[in-house]
Amino acid sequence: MEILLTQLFNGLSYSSFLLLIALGLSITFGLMRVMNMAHGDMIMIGAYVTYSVQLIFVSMVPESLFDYYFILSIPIAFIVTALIGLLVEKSLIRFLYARPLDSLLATWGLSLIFQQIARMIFGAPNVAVTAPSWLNGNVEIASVVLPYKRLFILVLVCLCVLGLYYYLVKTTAGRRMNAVTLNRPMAASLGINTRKVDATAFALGSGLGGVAGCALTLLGPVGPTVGTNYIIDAFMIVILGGVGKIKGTVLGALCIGLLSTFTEYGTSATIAKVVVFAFIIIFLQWKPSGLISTRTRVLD
Amino acid sequence: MLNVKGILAGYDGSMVLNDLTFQAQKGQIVGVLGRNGVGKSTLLKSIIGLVPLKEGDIHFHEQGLKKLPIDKRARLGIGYVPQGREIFPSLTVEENILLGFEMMGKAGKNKKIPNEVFEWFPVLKEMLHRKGGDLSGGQQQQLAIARAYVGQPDILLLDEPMEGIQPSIVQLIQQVITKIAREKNIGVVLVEHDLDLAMETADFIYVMDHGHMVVEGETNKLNIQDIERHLVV
Repeated sequence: MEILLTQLFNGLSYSSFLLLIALGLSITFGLMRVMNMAHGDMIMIGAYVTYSVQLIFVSMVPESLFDYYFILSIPIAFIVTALIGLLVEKSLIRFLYARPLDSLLATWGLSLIFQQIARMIFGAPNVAVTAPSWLNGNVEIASVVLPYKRLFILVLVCLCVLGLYYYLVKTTAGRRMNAVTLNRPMAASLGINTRKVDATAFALGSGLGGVAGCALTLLGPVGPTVGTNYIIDAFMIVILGGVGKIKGTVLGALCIGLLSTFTEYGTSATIAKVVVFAFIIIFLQWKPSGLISTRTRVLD
Repeated sequence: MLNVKGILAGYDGSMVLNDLTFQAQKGQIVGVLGRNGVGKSTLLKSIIGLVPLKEGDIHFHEQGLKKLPIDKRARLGIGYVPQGREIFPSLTVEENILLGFEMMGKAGKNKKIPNEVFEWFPVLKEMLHRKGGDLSGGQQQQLAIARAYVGQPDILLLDEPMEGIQPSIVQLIQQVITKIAREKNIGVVLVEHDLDLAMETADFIYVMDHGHMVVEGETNKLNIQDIERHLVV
């Protein structure tokens, strides 16, 4: 029973982290049909931003305030990666709309460039980020150990999902983004500046990747290629969930996260990966458009 | 107000519109008749910008549209209702209508849906919080017209709004089109393949064939035989 609960918690924790990465991808892929391989590097950049904020705190801020660096680094990572995302969109992505294959290659190249830049600035070896002291420790509920770090990530992801949901459903900008996702020419015909919507969406998606990078520093060391480990899983989630749907992405992340932790427990990480991929392939045979798909009443 | 002059437009190599000239005024309903495939829809698409112009130009309020992107044309005051209605299926009826305010740019912020929309189309009020995709064809058509109307366009382009719709709704839509032109002083371009419907609704008729206008004139002065000659398959 304890083992089951522990695995359940680990699965949820892993799912929530994957979800944070997949959300950004889901927005950009749904809206622009661009396969953004460089999204993983937004995670990496977010993680290095957190590392840099920590270094700045160590050298410039009184030690008593050190523990607050992490709170501050979340919005900074969001803003920095969102701006980089905006730059990437303006300079490269906008020439690749609706060309998934070309965009896949171009953004992969971009990803290599980002990794090399990170290597040049921070060096090839991994760096470690010291977690703030208030995140060390854990709480024990019914003899299941829940580390504060993982609980924190869970809360952070919940806040991001709620924020994104609010943005997409309740705000005018979100409604505009939905309209462009559903029918680009019609959205333009109504007077929506689709170029602006695209750029905003890309920046938002990249920013969420940056936040994921922040969270990643709590789980392990940071290296130039840290993002590439997660990008494939994130793509799987987007496709499993159904393109362009937050609800689908959330469900997809839960499925993949839980499935892979539970299989990993009985077997090994490699077998877990095989099982997850096999599951996705079979599932997509049955439901090609993913968990959540838009149904429309056909016109008579 | 809208002045289309000698345009050449189409898809890839084949030009659907060939030296087409056409005009529409405020508060006037202009019917565009023609058989299937003569380029009626392409004309509307080239006005809103979905099909690029190869030659000629379109002027709206004395401004050339040739180089303007779609969204800028819409914001100048062109409302477009495409043939397939193209409402956003997973957004609610309300959200669909609110998107119509986008063509007003900043002035459209926090606008409320005007009452006359629900007077004209009571069914939209009942369905306000349903998904657009749940509506029937006729209801979707009403929604598409409402969406194009709320942004206060100067001209409305309607692509066969009465096609495949039950007779009672056809009558309703005809009445609303007339009200939009008479009471709101909006120009309406009504693309139609049904001669009777067009003659009943429009003040001025153009007949299209082979990508350009072959007959034009005020509805009550036109010779029916002249028109029918171009409509018979």
